[in-house]
Amino acid sequence: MTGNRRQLDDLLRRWADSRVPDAQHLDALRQKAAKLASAPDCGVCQRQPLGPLRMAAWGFVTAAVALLAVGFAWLVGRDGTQLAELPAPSAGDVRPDGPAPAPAWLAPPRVDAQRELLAELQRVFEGRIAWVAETASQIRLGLNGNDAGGAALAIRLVLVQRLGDAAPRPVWAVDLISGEERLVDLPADVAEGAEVAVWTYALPDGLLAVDGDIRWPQRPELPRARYTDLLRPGVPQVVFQWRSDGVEYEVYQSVSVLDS
Amino acid sequence: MISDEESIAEYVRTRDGGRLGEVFQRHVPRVRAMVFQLVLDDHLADDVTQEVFLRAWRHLDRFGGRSKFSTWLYRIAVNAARDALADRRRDSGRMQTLGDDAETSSPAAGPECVVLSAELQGKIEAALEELPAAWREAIVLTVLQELDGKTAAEIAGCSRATLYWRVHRARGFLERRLEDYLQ
Repeated sequence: MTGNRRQLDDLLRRWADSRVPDAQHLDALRQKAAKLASAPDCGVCQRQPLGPLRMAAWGFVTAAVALLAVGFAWLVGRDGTQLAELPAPSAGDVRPDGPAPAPAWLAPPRVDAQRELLAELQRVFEGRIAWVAETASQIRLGLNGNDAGGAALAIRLVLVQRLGDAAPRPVWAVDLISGEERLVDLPADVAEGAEVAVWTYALPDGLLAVDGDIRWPQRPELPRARYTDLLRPGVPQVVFQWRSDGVEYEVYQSVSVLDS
Repeated sequence: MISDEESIAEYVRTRDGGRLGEVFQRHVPRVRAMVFQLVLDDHLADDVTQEVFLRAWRHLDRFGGRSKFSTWLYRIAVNAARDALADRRRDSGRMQTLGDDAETSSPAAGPECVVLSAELQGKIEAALEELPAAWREAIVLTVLQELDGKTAAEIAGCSRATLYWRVHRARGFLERRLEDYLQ
């Protein structure tokens, strides 16, 4: 633990100690808790075990959802070629007298299209979609009953390669739809060979705090990209960069809030 | 000394509230402290603390003894705090109106309390308030409640790796927010 970390922990503990209520206040709470324990109508009850019919129904629902997921992934997968078909930017795109316009592959996903996709998926899966991951070749869905209830977000991650004076070239990308404060943890077979963990949180001032941890286990020339950054909604930003054997790599991330 | 788990088992068997009351009373200070650190509001913390013991009492049959009673109870506390924060977000307009009254009757700090300047206390609470709820939970469980990683992850309902990641991120965030006080 660094000196700063120790100081921070000490400071937080001192704060916690300073916010302990007085003994009288705690005694009052103790009395209420003890009174509850002595209440005549105890809360202990036997839960009903699932009957065979209900268990069969749950099994059927689970199987149906799994089949729907596969079918839907195939259907919407037709659009998954979108990233692969986007042209790489040419050197002519870059203006010498101002900031470079964002190339198509870097632009954040269209909010209306992503919102529509999410709404359709939520309708089909009865609101259980935790995340959607779309790459050049496939779309995968994460189902989860524990919706955190935060705002829905469209996230684009792009790894760009620059070699000398040649135009930058996207070599890996994934589009995600997820929720605020929800950890999306994708294995390599979902995210085109990358293990991706991303987390996003909307700050009160409108900025988005992002955390990311991306590894490309099958590509040893690429290091692990771990970062924490603040992004403006809908604006792609470099969140991680490095050089390797004369090749420059950059990870861009954009986040758009889908909830209006 | 009879353990919490034995007391609970006896209560379920005999429905004699005496032992259960002792168990509840023992846990009140820590539950109240934890809940306050999560919701950052004295009055809400009092309400949520009572809610925690009510939920525990109602659902004692679900305590199977697979974990320690304290772990089970703290998990209820974290869930109750999450629910309270969600309710507060929904009712934020109404809560603001009630806030003025609430401040006048905040419980006094204990005589053994460590004195921090009001300014520093406010800065720390503002920084904690700004943390994503899951990060704050991670800091509260590990740094303030000093629970081991396995127990804290079980209470937070996530893997140990995720918990440590959240703690790491939360510390980084707090260090930036409180850098003036960390020299």
